[in-house]
Amino acid sequence: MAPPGWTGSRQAGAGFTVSGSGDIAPVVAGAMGASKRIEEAISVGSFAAVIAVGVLGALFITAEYRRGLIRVTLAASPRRGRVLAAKAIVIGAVTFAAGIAGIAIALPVGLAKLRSGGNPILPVTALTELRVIAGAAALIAVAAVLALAIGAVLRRGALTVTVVIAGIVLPYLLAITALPADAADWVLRTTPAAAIAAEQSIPAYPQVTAVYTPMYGYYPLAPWAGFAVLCAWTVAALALAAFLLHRRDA
Amino acid sequence: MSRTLLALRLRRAWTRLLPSSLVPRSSVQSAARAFGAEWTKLRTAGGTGWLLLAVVVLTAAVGSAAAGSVTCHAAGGCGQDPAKLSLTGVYLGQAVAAIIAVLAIGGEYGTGMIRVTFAAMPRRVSVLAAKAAVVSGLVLAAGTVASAGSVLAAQLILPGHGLAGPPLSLGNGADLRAALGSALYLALIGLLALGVATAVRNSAAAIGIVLGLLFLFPLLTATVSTGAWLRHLEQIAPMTAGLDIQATANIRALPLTPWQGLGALAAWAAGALLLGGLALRLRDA
Repeated sequence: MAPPGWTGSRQAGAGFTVSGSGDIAPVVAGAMGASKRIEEAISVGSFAAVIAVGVLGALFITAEYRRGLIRVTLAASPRRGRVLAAKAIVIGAVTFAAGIAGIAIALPVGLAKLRSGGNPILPVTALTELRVIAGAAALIAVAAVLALAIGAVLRRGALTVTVVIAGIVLPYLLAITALPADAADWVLRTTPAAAIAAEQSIPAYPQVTAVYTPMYGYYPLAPWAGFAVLCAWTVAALALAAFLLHRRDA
Repeated sequence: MSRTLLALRLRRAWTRLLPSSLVPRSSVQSAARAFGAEWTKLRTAGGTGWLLLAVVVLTAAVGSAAAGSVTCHAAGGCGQDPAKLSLTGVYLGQAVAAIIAVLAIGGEYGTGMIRVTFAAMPRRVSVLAAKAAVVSGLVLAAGTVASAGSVLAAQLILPGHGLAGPPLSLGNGADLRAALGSALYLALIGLLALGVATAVRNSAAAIGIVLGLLFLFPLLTATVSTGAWLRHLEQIAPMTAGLDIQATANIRALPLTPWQGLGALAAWAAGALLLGGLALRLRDA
């Protein structure tokens, strides 16, 4: 294989080694060409949805604290861990269903708009398309559960919403706009924003020379590994919330 | 005791018994009283001090981390803008500034305190103006410390990381404009958030709307690639345009000049405050 960054052809004995991007290698998204990835039709929308469900998930618990309803809730079902689990299941299921519906509408509409604008769409298998849709909806649903858990810890609506958005949306935004490459890579491996990898539809090809950065839709973690990072944060937040719910007065 | 003195004393005692809003006062006096009331409320609200400290600490910490992470071995630098890089923390600091502003009014709606406030000061728009003055003043002060701290930290960190160009310094006009402009940027974000929170009346929803407004525009510009649209979006996006104030390199490539960019954000803030003021006048509290 050619050294990275090397483009062109080279003759060694009877064989040719050709490297670069063009007709003999898969087309990639990025700086070259107007090709679009399917997730470009939904990525902004899925972040808008993350912000909306962040507010929803936060209010689902902080509004109870604000109104004092939480005391009634905990009087009615004194097993507090179970209350938290029930809330997590409800908010997760509702936002996942809403997310699937929203993405399933947004994807074909967005792709049609991109095509009518003269942008070729990079083809993907049906399975990959399904994974992108499910991944985006799962990102939305887990973000809602994370907001619920942080809300149970902080018990302040505005603070909770800010922490959720600063944890999921802001690191991604920084990674694609402001941060140097190393820091962008680190941020998309460690923060909850790593879950955006679940929407990546085009893999990085080692034989194709291209700019494989988050700005062009290539993330440092594999799709499900990135999603697992968000899940790990959410499980940790839920555990802390359950612990504090037991420890503190309501 | 003479009769006139007695009458005077009686009148004074009577005025003290009246609700303060019924006592006629000059407009300067009432503005000062509104400002004093809002200052007392924000100063004594739990968490304001911590949030102001968080603006300073988070802004400086993220800026230092961004400056520390840049490594550039190419001759002639890597096209990084040292001032902008050192002030990266403003991305996070603005979220905290928005919380301070949102809680200044949203907290009152949450507890019902707002009805007491308006009973004491029936001129609702002057209440909003007083809140705007207190919030923007506090955020401006915290933002000045935060951005000056960020630039000073980057001055210590950046040498040796291979950036081209003259070293970062607050004595340099462009770097000083970037730093002070970032403080003004944070204050304008506070005013924008105050206006939105006044219109929405719910803290959590208001902060979601403000951060959505700030963060979704640049995500949209990252996916829109056609020239004219992209340029227009970058000119009207509150965060993208406002942060033009931090640019010290490639200024001619920006869609707006730095001060025009900050002006675009100021227009957003003014629009939000207008919307909030109208909502205050037209609705029940």
